Amino acid sequence: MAANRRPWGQFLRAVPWLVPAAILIFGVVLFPAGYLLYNSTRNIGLSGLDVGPAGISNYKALLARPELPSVLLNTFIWVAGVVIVQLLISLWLAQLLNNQFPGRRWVRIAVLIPWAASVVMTTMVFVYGLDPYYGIMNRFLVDVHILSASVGFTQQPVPAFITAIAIGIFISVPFTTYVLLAGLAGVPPEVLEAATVDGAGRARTYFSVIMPCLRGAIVLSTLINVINTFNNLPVLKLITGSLPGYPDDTTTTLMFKILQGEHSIGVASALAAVNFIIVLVVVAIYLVAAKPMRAVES
Amino acid sequence: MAAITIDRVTKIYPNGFEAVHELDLDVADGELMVLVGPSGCGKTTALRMVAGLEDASAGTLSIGGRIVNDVSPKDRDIAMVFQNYALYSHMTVAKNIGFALKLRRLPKSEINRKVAEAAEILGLTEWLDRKPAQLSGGQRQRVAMGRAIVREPSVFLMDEPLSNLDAKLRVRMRAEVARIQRRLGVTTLYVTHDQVEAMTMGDRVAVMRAGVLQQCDSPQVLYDHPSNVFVAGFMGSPAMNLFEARLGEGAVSAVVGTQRLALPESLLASRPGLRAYANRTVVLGVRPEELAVAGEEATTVPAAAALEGDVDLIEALGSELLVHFTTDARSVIGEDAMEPDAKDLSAGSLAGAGEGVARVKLRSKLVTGQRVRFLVDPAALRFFDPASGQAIVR
Amino acid sequence: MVAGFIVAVVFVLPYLIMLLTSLKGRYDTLAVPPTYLPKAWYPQNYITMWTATQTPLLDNMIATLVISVGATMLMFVVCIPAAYYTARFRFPGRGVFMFLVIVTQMLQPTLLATGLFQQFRLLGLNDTWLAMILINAAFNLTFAIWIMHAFFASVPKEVNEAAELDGAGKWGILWWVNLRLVWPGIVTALIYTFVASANEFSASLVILTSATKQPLSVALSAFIGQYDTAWQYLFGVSIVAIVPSVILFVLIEKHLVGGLTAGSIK
Repeated sequence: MAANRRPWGQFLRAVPWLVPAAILIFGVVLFPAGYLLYNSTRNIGLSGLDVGPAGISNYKALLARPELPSVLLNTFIWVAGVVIVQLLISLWLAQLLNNQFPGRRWVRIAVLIPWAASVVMTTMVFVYGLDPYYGIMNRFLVDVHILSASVGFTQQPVPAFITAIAIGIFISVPFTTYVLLAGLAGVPPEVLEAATVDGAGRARTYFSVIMPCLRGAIVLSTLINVINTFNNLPVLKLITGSLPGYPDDTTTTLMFKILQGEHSIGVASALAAVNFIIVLVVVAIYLVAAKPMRAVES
Repeated sequence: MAAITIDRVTKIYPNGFEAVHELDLDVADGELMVLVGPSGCGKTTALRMVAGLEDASAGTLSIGGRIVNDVSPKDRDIAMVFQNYALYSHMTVAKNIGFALKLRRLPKSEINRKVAEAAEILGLTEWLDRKPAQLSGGQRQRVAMGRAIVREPSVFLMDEPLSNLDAKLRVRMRAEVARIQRRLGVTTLYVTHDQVEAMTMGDRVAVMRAGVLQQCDSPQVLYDHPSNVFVAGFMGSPAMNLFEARLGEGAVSAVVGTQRLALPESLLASRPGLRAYANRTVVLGVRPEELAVAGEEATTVPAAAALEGDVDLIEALGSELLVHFTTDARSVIGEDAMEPDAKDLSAGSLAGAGEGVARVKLRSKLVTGQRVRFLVDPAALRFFDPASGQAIVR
Repeated sequence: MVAGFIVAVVFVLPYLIMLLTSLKGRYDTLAVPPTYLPKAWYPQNYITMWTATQTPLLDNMIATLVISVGATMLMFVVCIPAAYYTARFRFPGRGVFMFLVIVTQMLQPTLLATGLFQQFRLLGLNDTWLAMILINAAFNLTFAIWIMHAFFASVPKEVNEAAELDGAGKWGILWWVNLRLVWPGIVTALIYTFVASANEFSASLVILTSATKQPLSVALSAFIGQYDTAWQYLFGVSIVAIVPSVILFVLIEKHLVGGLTAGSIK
């Protein structure tokens, strides 16, 4: 048809198929993003009413907060700690699960559980188990002599933070492992056979042959994990939320505390805008450094 | 039933690549026209334009007298058989064949009847309830044909339907497809890269190269009177032997390498255009079956028209021998001779290490390394212009 | 194999604790020092837990179901046409659309919570399930389109052309051919969206403020830190929520690997 050839006709015919998705994306994802950027420059009362422009005063208030530097440091440690350790564990686990062994199916199912389960529920078990009085995990650690006495994990900043990181790792490993398994499935067996024929040892084979094939999977999963970990609320809130002050807060939990605790929507929006920029910067660095987009767009 | 008219159709892709250049082709009503050529010659693109799966950049396409450039594929009353069959893997054979009829909302009883008929013609009746994954390659190919047949279209379009079958099956299916086409009498445009299929199946054959139609004729005419070097080299297996040659004074002889073939008056009478090439280089072609081993076969060819060479390799086919030989002439490759910047053929000596093939009877006593003398019937020689590749006829 | 066993134990252990605790009586859960196994078994917890707490957990379970089912259905209707059309056809603006889809993968409800909060308040939809249905559908859209796009793209071009020649229009080709061929990918995306919606926390926390409207994730978190937490009920409800999610994930396990590979890793 003549309309086949004209680009305008092609565009128009695509519209009905895409419009619902576009409306949802614009309305529920892009609009709030823009709105929060706007709000960060407004004075907003406790009831949520927009009172007037605020210029950059919200940002100034944010920067003046004494806890900000330690919060930024916490954020960095939180994200780096979780993402790096879970990647190493997942690399090992994916390799393990890639080989056949009796009962493999059950192990794979077990690994799925933290991914399928609500993070809140998983974290709840740790809150309960690590309670210094009735916590069963505490008791176990004492029974096997790792601890001499129950520790109030959620009651002091450092143990709480470490516990949170451990839980963060626990819930991130399943996703990463599966992505890496997908990547491993793409390694052609002939390449492995050629390596064996060439006389490569197991470690050599792993680093020189398998890892390069996994590069795409590693880059992709790490990107998603960084974003997810950065944005994680439930783990930190439940484990460290009872601590006074802001010793264990990340930029994300701080934002929620400002929003729900202090009802300063303007300042919370300012912090959200800062978070937004951090995410964009991280993503930009990734796109430049690792070029995963090329694969996705094809 | 309808004729297909392709009138000066061109296809240029957005990146500038011209896949088809001003193609003129008429397929008569009920004819099986084979479109043949090497990979990338534009034959599949041409077929897809007739189907409407690609748009023509220029020119008109007509089916049954109606211009269809702007008509969508499903309204052109055509059916297509794809190279990979493109069966619906989640449907049974019966549903695959009946899908188009179901879309037309024919009553169920009628759909079943037509599907049963098509299955009967193709020998698929006992497989109607199977899914494609359970069928062999040949059966799947027949299901693809069944899908096309049941719609009773005006035109069949076939895109290398036999390419994915193994050699023996291909030979059998070739006859099947031709038989079915003849029985149904539907105009068919059939694309293949296999010149044997073209020769055996086509009422007429159109040879394409690099987007340009080379020649369109009945198979035998294409074989006997190729209009250029490319067609000469493409049709026939083993390919026609092509050598550089220089015609002598008055074109009464041809020097091939260091050898001289006398050209009789009768030859010049039937090909007067040769006279214009006196003292000039031409491309000389002779088919493998036209070379007779001197002394072994009874022939009326005078001894003066002979070509000598050394036997390189003898392939025994069981029914005959293919003798590969080298001779001191310069070989020409069909494709190269068509390029406009073909090296200057007229300068210097014609000596080279040309290779040729001859079909020889089984009882021959030839051995490898032996010097052999082939007798050539001059009437069987073909001559081509060295620059344009066109056959020298008039 | 031993390593595998240890891994399995590590991953199952927290949930085992959850299960055992849910079967304990009130005194056992808060006993100091705690016991590993219940001294007395209380399977009846699974009946009483729905109404025993101050805010009935049954309300929260219903909230979770309504939001998850609603979001999944909405996403299904919106996502399939978009994924199908972008997988099969080229048109001006396609690159922009795909880019948008990827960009939203980077933006999460947690990040945009303040914006969402204000926006839905503006629309008068704060504290409604509809708001959460829209939010969950929108934010899971990218992952779903990503998976489905890859599956649709894997259908051979000729099969679609054959259907076109057989007389099917674009919707017909989608309905009769493509959907039947790629339904594993569709089921994967649907299940993933359902589970992700059921587990969503941050936006639900901010948008749904009435205790009876909150999904389980928010309601359960509110109980923590209270003086006399009824852990056995919390864990019982959690088990009831987790088991179906795990079963669903197990069903799509094979296709998870396929869906993640196709079109993204290479």
